[in-house]
Amino acid sequence: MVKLRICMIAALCLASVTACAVGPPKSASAMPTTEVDAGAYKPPLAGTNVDEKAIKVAFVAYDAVLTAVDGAVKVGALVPGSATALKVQGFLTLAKASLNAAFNAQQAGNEPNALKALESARAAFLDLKLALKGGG
Amino acid sequence: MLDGKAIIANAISLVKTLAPLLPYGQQAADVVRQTEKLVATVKATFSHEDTTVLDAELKTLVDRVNAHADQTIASLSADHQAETNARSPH
Repeated sequence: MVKLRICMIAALCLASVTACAVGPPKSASAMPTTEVDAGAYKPPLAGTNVDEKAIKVAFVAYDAVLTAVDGAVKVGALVPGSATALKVQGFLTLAKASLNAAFNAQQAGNEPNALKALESARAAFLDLKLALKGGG
Repeated sequence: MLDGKAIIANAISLVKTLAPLLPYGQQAADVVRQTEKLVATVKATFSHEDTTVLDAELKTLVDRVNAHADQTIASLSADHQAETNARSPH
């Protein structure tokens, strides 16, 4: 039961990151508003805008994911050293690297690279969600 | 461009989902509170459309989240668990 709830938390955190950190500039109606369709959502690359707010939201959402993982460890839903924990560790590391790459690219004014990096972070969070579904 | 409404909808869903964790004890309640604070930060960012994110503020946030990430990532390894157990009096 706890595992299930943690998975839901992770999925919602994921939705916060993937659905909102990067989005199309005009067609807001295409944005998912629930966690259900976040995984299937593919923001179009053309015209996508990555600004300071996008980076801030991505990092705050990542912080929420970290808090949820901390909670999962505290309540015993995720056992350190277990196969699932090590997978989660790997994906969190990957997401961290991607978000930092996005931040650096955005600061340098390289929006295409920032977008690619945020897409990598999104992929890492999708994998993280799958890893958490596997149990721990 | 960011969609503030979508973010707030997700944030509210997040808090609603965390709430059932409360029966699992004080630690779970702490997690809910911490996450609520994070959600409030996101909501505050979008409550004013003209709010700008200062470079220094963003850098501070990035540094803090990176430190949090290092801590969380380390806590998932077996070595960390062994160290914690060794420090425990029991």
